[in-house]
Amino acid sequence: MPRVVGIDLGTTNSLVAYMERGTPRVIPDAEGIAILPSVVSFGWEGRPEGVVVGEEAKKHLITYPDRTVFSIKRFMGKGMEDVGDDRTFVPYALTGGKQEVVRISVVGKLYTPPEISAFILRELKQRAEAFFKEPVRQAVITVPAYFNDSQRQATKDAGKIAGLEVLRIVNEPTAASLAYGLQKKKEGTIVVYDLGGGTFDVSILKIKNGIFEVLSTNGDTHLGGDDVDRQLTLLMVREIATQSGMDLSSSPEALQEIRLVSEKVKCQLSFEEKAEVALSFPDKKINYRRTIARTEFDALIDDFVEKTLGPCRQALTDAHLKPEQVDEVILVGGSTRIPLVRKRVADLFKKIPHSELNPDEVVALGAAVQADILAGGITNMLLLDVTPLSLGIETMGGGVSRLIPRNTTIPSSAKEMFTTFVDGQKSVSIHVVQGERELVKDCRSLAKFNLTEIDPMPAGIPRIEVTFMIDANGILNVNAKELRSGKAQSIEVKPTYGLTDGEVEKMISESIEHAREDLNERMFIEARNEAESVLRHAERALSQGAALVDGSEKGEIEKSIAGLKEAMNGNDHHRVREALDRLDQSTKHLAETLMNQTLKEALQEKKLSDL
Amino acid sequence: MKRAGTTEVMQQRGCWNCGAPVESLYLCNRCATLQRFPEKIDYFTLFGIEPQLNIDLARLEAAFYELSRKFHPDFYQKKSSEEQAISLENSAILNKSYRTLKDPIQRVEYLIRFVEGGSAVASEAPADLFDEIFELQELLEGVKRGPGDAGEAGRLLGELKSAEGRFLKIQEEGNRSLERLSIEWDRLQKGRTEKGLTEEQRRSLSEMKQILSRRAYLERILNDIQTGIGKLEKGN
Amino acid sequence: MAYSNKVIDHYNNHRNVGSLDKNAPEVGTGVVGAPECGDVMKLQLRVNNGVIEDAKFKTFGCGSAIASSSLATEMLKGKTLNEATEIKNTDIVNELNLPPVKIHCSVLAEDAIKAAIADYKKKNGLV
Repeated sequence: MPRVVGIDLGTTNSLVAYMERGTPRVIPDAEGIAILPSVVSFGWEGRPEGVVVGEEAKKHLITYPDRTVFSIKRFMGKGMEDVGDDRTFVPYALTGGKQEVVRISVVGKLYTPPEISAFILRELKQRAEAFFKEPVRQAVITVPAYFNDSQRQATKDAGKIAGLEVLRIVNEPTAASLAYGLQKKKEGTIVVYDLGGGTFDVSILKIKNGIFEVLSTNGDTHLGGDDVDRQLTLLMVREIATQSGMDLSSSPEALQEIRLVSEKVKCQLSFEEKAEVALSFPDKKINYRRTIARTEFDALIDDFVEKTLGPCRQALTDAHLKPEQVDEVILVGGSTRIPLVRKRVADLFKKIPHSELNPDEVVALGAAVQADILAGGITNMLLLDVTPLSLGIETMGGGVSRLIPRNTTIPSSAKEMFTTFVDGQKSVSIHVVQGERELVKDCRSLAKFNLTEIDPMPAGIPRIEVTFMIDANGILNVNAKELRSGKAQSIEVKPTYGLTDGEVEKMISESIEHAREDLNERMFIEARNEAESVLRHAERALSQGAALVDGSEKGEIEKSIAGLKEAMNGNDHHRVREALDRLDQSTKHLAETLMNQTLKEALQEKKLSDL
Repeated sequence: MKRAGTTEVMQQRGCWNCGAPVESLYLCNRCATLQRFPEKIDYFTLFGIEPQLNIDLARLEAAFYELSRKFHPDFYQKKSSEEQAISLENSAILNKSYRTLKDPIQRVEYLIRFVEGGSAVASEAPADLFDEIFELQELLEGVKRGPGDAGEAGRLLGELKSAEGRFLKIQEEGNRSLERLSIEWDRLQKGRTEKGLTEEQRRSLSEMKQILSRRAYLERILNDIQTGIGKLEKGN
Repeated sequence: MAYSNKVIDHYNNHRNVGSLDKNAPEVGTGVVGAPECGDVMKLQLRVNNGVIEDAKFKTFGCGSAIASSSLATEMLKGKTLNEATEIKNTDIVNELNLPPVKIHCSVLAEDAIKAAIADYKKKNGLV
């Protein structure tokens, strides 16, 4: 059975997990740490595309803010038009034309958000491969339930670029429910309240006989712990400006430092009643000290917490439920550690929410459960998820004709018949949108395609059948045909904010080339490290055992050492390995002789002491 | 009546994989591959329940879960792409049937289409509603433009609220009538095996259609009124 | 203006929105609805010597219906009652990338014209 891993690709942190004999587990790195910060820093190893990921990259947030990318998830599947405020909040440069996918400009190169996410995914893939000591090619990746089609597609693209076949895109709150359900073996109606770093989701599920049926879902893909940090940052910047007259909002380094302090304050205030802030910028003669009390913090984030409750109420309405009918509330995501969040959620649903599952890990664990279901491991659990947003097409006059309403169980298909507006009209433009509003301009544009070569007929006569199919990933396929002529219509799809298949293919091949380069590089470094230690031992052995070897043997060893040193100055790991083998052969006799001698001495010593 | 027995739904078809005649709704008896639902499948046959308006929701749910386990794409990950495509299509049909039969209003609409084969709404328009709808829509235009002063806003809000109450009452009456008619329909249909409808059944169907044809207009105007009220209340 | 441009213009700027006096003898009123989406449309004609002098419509909601009505009322003007019942335009429109129209909306305007003419005829004892 090939390995299928579960990946939580988060705004702030990412994790990879797998299923071990019926229990999902996260996969740690060599140091035993499972959490990988979703940070990618560029311009290392002496080349612009040299990349470090995770904890290592996080260290560069303050020192190299313009080439260290964080919170990339906020930009997945988006155009410049949707970016809004975030543009000013991140220190790295965003570019992109109208109706084009956002690009991040670092060290003179442009990257799309899926490419940056792919660096994080590749790191997790390698971590899993090191753990299993075998290649990993298939994965289940989670996304916020409220992600739209473009954002899901972008996530799938990121997987592809990282060399992963994405078997399924799973919604984060439902993934959490799988992990929860597997562990607790409970049935009933549960609410998953998932407040992460950058996104908020709420899902209501019914668990019965191993079926996890999602009744409704809602959320905000632009609401999370980042916003709390931002509130604190803005407060500090404002106060520093009042105290010192210095406006730090134009300094990326300073802002980044304040942002990191804000994050710490937030975490501290989740467990303590107050937090001390000390910020100093000696070059600007700023020395800012301040105590922030829990009560003050609560007041600051009140609106933020309130914003999460609207989607909760809507989800209840859509599921036709009252708060009393909910059996349990589960908290997921690091931001649910904030006491005010817990209190408000408890008030709304009239019960104490569960938080015994590790909110950082539960989504990845759930992804591993779904991965195991797909791999044929678990057979008694089945997740029936829903589409979070209504799907429709633009009709004449700028209105939206809804074909699949939100909270419809997926897979889901819908067909509707349309016609032309004027006599002799030969083509029809099908514009697919996602959203709950009545007008196209208020919805999210997903794709446009033209149905051409319709036989000229009077207006209202053609019968154009448009078919939507949303698959189990929540990703859409659209077909349209004119029924009277019966002939298949040529369709050309242009994703509004996505990458075309061609672009993804190109990125994959580029990344494979890089990966090959990277791999060579890594193998060379490993071989060199090994060579360094072997060299040290060989040189010591030679000086210790000079009396034990004859001249020709000594000469052979010296030649091997010189050969290895030369290979280590190159960049070919094969040559280093060959030189290592040669040295190994030539020192074999010396090593044995030394060993015997040491052993003899040790035994003698023992005898002496025994006597 | 057009109660499609399984025999009628099951037109002659051969397995796409091995060619053997397929006798079940979705499985080839010979090679055990998944089959597309027959083209004429109806939702009642799909779930194996009687075509009635009052149905046992717990039984419907149990059948839905059981069939989900048979079709869901999760279980076809390693099968041929043809079987994967069928699993996707059958799942989509299953999900749509469940959604339709679960909802009492959609169930009535579906039953009418199933029995009569045509549209579920009466073709003649409820003209008595139209004048009132027009007046209200014009009022709502005023709300959209923004009321001139607080006095006008208050007057508009009052009118909208009274209209909301009136329409909600009509809606409520319609729902109650549908419930009554649903029980009546099941009683009239019970034990009938012959084709064709009785005079009483026709009358019952036509009454249901009348109510359904008003529903769309009522829902639309209520939605607009509630949006208008929301807007005025926010403005205050 | 080319026919296709005219169509796009109607799509963007709706004409002839409004009301005529319902009680005037020379005015015919047709009110129809689309039960599929709950849209209601009112279309009115003022007739002088058998020729349609003016046409106004009012509809709420569905954009397709609004665009169709706007175009229909413009074409009605200057036509005789008989011509009006068979409004057709046979120009072939190439490469006009218009969004599709819901079928029930496309018939709404046509139904409204027929109803308005019937109302006028009934008022004036022409049937």
